[in-house]
Amino acid sequence: MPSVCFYFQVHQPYRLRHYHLFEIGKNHDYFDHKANREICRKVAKKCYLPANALMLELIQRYPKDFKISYSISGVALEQFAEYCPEVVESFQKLVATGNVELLDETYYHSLSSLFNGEEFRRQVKLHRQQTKDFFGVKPAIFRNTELIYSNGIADMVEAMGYKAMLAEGWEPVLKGKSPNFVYEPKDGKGMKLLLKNYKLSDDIAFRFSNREWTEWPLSSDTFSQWLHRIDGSGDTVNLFMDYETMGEHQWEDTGIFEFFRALPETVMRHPGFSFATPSEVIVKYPPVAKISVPNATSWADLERDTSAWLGNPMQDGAIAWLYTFEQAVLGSKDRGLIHTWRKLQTSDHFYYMCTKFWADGDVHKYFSVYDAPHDSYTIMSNVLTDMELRTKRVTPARPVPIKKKASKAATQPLRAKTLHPTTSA
Amino acid sequence: MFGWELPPHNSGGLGTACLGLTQGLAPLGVDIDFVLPGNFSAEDADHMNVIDASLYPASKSVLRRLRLAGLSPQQVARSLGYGSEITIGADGLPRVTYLPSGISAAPEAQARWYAYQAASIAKEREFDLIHSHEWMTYYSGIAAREVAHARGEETPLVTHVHATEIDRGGADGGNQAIIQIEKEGLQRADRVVTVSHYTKKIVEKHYGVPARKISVVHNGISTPANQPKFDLHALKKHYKLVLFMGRITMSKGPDYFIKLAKAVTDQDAKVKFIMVGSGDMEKRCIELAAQQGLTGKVLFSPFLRGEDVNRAYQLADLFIMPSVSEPFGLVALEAMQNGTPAIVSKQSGVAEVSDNLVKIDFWDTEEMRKAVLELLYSPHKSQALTQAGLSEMKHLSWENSAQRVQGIYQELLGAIKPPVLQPAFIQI
Repeated sequence: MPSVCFYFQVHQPYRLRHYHLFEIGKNHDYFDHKANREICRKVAKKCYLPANALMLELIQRYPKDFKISYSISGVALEQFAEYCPEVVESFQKLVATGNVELLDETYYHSLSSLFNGEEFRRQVKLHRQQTKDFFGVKPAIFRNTELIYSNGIADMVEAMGYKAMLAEGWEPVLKGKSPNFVYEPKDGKGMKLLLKNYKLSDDIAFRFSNREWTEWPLSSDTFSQWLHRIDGSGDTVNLFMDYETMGEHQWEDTGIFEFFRALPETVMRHPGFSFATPSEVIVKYPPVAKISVPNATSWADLERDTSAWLGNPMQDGAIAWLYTFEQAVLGSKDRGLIHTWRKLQTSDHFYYMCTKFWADGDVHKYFSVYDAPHDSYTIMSNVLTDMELRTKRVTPARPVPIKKKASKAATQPLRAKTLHPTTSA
Repeated sequence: MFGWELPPHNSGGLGTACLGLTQGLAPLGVDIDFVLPGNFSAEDADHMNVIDASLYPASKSVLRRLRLAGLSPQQVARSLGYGSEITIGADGLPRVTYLPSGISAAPEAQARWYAYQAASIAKEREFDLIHSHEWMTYYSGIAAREVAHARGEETPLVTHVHATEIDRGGADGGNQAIIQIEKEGLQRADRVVTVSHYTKKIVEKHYGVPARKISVVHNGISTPANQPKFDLHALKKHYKLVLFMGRITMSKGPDYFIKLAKAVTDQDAKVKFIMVGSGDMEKRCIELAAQQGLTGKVLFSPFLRGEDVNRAYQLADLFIMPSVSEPFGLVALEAMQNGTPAIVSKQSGVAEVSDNLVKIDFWDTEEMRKAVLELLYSPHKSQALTQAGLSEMKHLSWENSAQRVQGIYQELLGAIKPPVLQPAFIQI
């Protein structure tokens, strides 16, 4: 009896402002508070609040049957708490129903799994703590930033005690297998793998409002019939997508809310079908095979690899430089500085620097607040130069004489330990 | 005088030079009508009469186009290649609002439009001499001279070359339509003024203008009563900073600046390069820097204005102008004025006027590297250069340039009739 497993990614980055090189060394506040507040509020109004209300309505109508899952990035939740606390409350209400499962990820929605295992684990722990603080639950399932997955990442995640992890059901990885079963990582010791059915997911996430598409307009009836087709040839249909699909990427007037409102009924018209959370799916169905993913895959762009964030010299140069600050930043014990450094790790900053010009260029442009990838890169360069100065100053090994007078008066120059820069939390 | 831009609505050196020159000429008793293609509300232009050409009637052919079914005035304006809006005046004639952006989409159409406006203006004004700045105004100068001729006046035409398409075009050879306009304008002028001997040679060689018809008048530099001093920047305390400032386009050699950045920073991690400006090669330069592993070694800023320009000069320890072909290169003098020594390419006009600039071939990255490191680490030498440069600059004033230009006016007017002094569109 197959399950339909919905997972929604909820994420908002801290966008950078146009930080000019004249500000380096003077102003350590890199983020565009105004834009971040406005975007959070706008998306809350268009998506989070009405979508959460709809989900709650569906859960109340089908308390035993309708189930969904989310992962909310730490930086998104932080911003909701600051800019639109009613969004936090609405998620808390959903979680309290018991029909909603929360998944863990890195707090900063970062690419740390590809660069620094230690930092990756620290950020996952931060997220786990935050989920506990806000929702009182401890996630058992993990999903990495933008579904980035590889054998190595799976090993790290399993070592942290997670029971399952999500990944893209990408054909070159599946090699003819169906995404509609539970799998295991290549070297797994019991952790399960849930693979996204990207065709059916993207029918909703990307094609839903596309008038050129032969299936437009897509009805819940039609879509449910497609789901029902897997009966007998699969255990679970994993529909993973951005939560912002509802009302933000697909505007309300496309009928996306009505589509979801009708979906439980049309799905369950087939008596064998039900909704399940990832934790339920891995209990219900045994794994059918092991999957090996030596090179990282993701759910982004046509390539489903990491080329949305990495690969061009601007992206590679900026992120490599960013990670070189690890020791200096963590060594500073300056919580504001550490938080800032991690906010800069959010994958979106590198996504904006992408220069792929074909089909995906449009998607990147849609998400970017900058005129060009080059702007994001030059802004990041200015920000990191300021970071370089800040970490120079806080490194105790390098004394900074404060005034000439002082060094004259004493043989020892004044030490910099009291010279903590102002932080931008 | 026909110009194209004035500060603060200028995209480069042309506006600055026109302002400086007219500020020098006005006190000499020269009465100037300065024509601009649109209403750009120029600052500091009280010394002359600024005329907005778009207030004058445009060609009646515009009316015919307007009558074509289904086209809005905006669409017709845009189809002309230079306009954004058309209105019909009380006289029943069309007025085309000039569109400041989108230059050179149709150079010929633009130059002809400006010439038409010039003729309209010339009919209403009296003048002894015409002075045209840059290719966009060459046809205008010729048109105004014809208007004067038709009423029986012989009015000399001076065309002023601030840059040529040969400089701008580099290896691509430039826009042929513009080169044709330049050729016609320069050959039909009574006198050609170039901003350097370097440019004079180009005008002789590429535009077939005889040397005797060309006068060199170097640009000047305005000396502010007191140059504002900016705070020592935190960046400057920790790094040695090398600056590029200018349009990021082939003729300015920005790619040589990146090459130099690579050569220098490979050797000395304390040096950072700063590239200020915008232009068609901006993205390419940013990518090039990233490719060369110069992330964090080269920083970028878009085009700066006003105070920020001086701030950037003062922030730098050294200024580089690696131009492949530079008619003048005022930026090098501005850098010195801000106490920052400058290395300039030998392929520049400014190299002719100062002994205190370090001059190196733009392509000789190795020689540049040595010079950069030497200057960065010998403050005495840097200081000596800027000190001497500053005292030298007193002779590089716009007053001097204006006197030269006035001399040329007198010579031209004297050849016709006893001079009543006035250039440009001039009222008696």
